[in-house]
Parts: sequence; structure tokens; C-alpha cells
Amino acid sequence: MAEKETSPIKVLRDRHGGMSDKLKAYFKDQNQIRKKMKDSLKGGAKTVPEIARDTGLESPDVMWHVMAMKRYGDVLEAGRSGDYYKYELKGDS
Amino acid sequence: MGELKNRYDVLVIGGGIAGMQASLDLGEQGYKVLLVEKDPSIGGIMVGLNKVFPTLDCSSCICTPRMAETAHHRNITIQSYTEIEKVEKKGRGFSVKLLEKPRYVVLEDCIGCSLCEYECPVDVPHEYDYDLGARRAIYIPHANAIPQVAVLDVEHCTFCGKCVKVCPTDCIDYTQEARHLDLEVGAVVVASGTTITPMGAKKEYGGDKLANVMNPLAMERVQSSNGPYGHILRPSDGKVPKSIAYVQCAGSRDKTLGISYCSRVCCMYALKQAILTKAYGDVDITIYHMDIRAFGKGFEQFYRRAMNDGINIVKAKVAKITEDEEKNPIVRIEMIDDDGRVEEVKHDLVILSQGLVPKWHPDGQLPAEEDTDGFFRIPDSKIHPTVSTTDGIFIAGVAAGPKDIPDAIIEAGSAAMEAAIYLESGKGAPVAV
Repeated sequence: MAEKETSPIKVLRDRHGGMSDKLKAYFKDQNQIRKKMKDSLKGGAKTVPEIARDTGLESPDVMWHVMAMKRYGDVLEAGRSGDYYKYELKGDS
Repeated sequence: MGELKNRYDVLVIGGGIAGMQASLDLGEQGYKVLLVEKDPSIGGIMVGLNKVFPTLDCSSCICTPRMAETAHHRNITIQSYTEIEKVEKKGRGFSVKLLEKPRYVVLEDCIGCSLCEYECPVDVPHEYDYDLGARRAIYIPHANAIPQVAVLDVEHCTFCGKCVKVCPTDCIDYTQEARHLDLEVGAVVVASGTTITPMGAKKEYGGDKLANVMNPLAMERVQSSNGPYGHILRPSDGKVPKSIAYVQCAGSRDKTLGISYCSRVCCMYALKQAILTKAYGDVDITIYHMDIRAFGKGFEQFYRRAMNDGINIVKAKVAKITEDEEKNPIVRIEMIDDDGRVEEVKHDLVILSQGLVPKWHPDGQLPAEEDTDGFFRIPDSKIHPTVSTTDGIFIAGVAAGPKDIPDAIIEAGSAAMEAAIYLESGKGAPVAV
């Protein structure tokens, strides 16, 4: 209990040897991809292929990140364009 | 859900529908049951399904009340996020060694508010959605999870500490460690369930490298209203598919995979998914099959309904699946009728109707034999279809072989009754807790 009160996060970090290089790279990639996608969506609602074209990211990656952002409230659905749904940034994102 | 004791009448391994049913049937007879589940939540495969065949009832609407009933039963203790290390015969009962994995969250204190999940900065492919959707490094397993308690995936934790700052009940405990547990039981019911053949098993079907070739359980999640997309979309680019194909026997009745048996549910889940997707609107759906096996109550009518709904049922063997530059799957088929004609057909999305294989191979952790197909061996399957090769160990549900949900529930009841008879006969050692 004393250990928990002193420095619980340090206990966990030390036990697991800190963030792995793989996780650091993963997290860095995630942040870079999100920045590109948010910049693209600042220009208005887009479909997944449109975001992919705009950012140069692979379309399946964009799809996954759009769905992750939708789940956690960063983007919203914004109607359809043909066979594709469009997505837009939520106001405070 | 009860506090863990060191003696129980029955250990039930697996918290899917069969394990829950066996636990409830034993608990209702007054036996003290310990239900061990390796995942953070009970519910198994069924709670993640969209609908059940042939009634098209909501699967989680059937499963979730069962989960709640199990969790609140006075005679059932649930030990989730826990692995079986060893079960050994000991006198008239069994000694059991368990490994409880750390959640890094105090189970009794978490209120499932998800504030930690929303604050966490790391998105990770979500196993519950077959990686199509995301979860966070700390997350509630899914909307219907029981216990409704967060779990920290420490492999993806950046150690930022944001979760602990927002937790309203101070229930996040970074100092938790795995815990070894030792206990004794009088009998064991194994309901360890099933999984599907790996996506990469059939190299000729793309070997898990084609973006728009999916497994059927992922399609269940895509069809679910609480699924990863909220609509039926294809994973490569979010397109609403206009042409969907199902490839039957993509992992069953296939000696090249060492799986010569029929998995019994694939024809019906493909028909079910096809009917439901068709109901969404303008989409062509084709099922490529060797033969449709619709043997259960109401199944033949369900098959005929699918044909009446305009589902294309094509008797053809799929030789190969490739993709074009827009990631549209190209299915090369050899017609079984029509003189063996060979065609290549472009679809927007393909679902492989993969077969069922055992989820757990005890490998010395449990003294019950496996059969040649990898499922548990039932020596007298005609008269005692749930009795294993070891006195006091009973097999329920798909752990004994492929079957649908009603059959798994029937077997669970049978396994519970066999366990009760075993305990009452004095062969086992029922213990008062």
C-alpha cells in the first residue's frame, strides 16, 4: 500500500521496463497520422478515400483511424457521397 | 459475483453460453460453482454476435440476461481474467491451480464509467471487433461486459498516469501483480468453447493479406448496431458494399487443413448474414458452396427464405481469391454444376465461412483426453455425450465438437446433470463452502 501511495506509475513502469521501442514508434505514428487526418478534415467533411488522397496515407489505415476517432468522439458522420459516408471533425477536436 | 473461497463443488471452465448454462443448472441445484473465464468478461462468442439463426433474435439480448443471472447467482462465483494452470485428480476430487492476471483496476471499486478509457491517449485494435475497431490501452471490454470493469493492457500503456487522475473512485492500482490461486473442487465441467480456423490458413484465399476478405465473426461485429463501423462497410475504404460473396467450407471439410469434419453452423450463419445484409438495401449477395447443410428445426425454411429474398446460392468451389488495384476481391470459381465452367467474379467484399476448431488444448493442464480432431474425446458419445475420458470431468458445448447455440445449451444442461449425479453418487467430493 505504501508503494502505491508513493509512486504507483513508477512501480508499473519499472516492472515493465518502461515503454518499449515498438510502442514508442506506434504511438508516434498514431499521433502523426491523426495530425494529418485532422488537417485534412479542417477543409471540410470527406470520405475515407478523399482523406487518403489528401494525406497520402493508405486507405485501410485511414479507415481504421477514422473509426477510432468516431468511437471516441473526434469525428462525426456527415452524410453520404455516393457509396461512401463522409466524416467531419467534431467542433472541439 | 462472490468472494473467492478455496473449495467448491464444481469448477466450470469457460464463461461462454455453455459454461454459464452449466453453472446456472448446478447453482440452481444448490451446488457451489466456481466459473473461471480467461477473458476480462464472461459471455464468450455469443455476446458479440449480431443475431441468431433461424429466428433472427438479437444475440446479445438473449445472452446478456444469462450473463447477469450468472453473475448475481448466490451459488456461483465468477473468476474472470484467469487462466487454468493445472487441474489434477486428488482423492475424490480435483486440485486446481489458477493464474489471475492483473487488471490494474480494483474490481470491487470500478464503476465502469469509462472516464479512464476516454482519457487514455493510445488507440489499439480491439480484439472484440476483430481488430476492425479501436479500444484504448485502458478499456471496458465491451458495452455488455460482465464484470463491467476496466482492464489495463500494460503492453500498450505509455505510463502517462492520465487514467488515475480522472478515476472518480480511485480504483486504478498500478501495483497489482498476477496472483496464483490454489483450490479444491469435487467435479469439473469444461466449456472452453471454440474459435475459427485462422484467416491465413488458406493461402489460396489470400492468406489474411487481402483487405476486403473478412472472417465471419468480424462480419457479425460489422452487422451489429454497436459494431466498429455502425454500418455495413468494407474495411479497405469504408465503401458501402454492393456485391458480397460468402465462400463456404473455407476451413472445414478440407483435408489440406487437417479439418475433415463439417463445422455444422457455417451454412446457417452465412445465410443469416446474407438475409440481414440484404435487408439493408441494394446489394447482391452470392453464396458459393459445395452443398447447403440445413438440418435443424426451421433451417430448411430459412434456406428457402434466403433464396426467396434473392440471395444467389451458387454450387461452385472457390479455387482462389486475389484482389485488383482497388482492393476488390476477385473470386475464381469452378462451377460444380454447369460442366465445371471456370469464372472470375469481382466482388466488393468476401466473407470466408471458416470452420470451428477447439479454443483450448489443455496440453497436460487437465487430465482429459483430446480426440483426433482436437476436441475433447467422448468415449461413449451415444449414451453419455458429455462424459470425458476421466471420472469427474464433463464436457459441455463446442469443447466436445462443433454445434450451434441451442445444442451447446442442451449439452451444458446434460453436463451439469452428469456432474450432479457424479457428486451425489459419492464418487466426487462435494464440499460445503
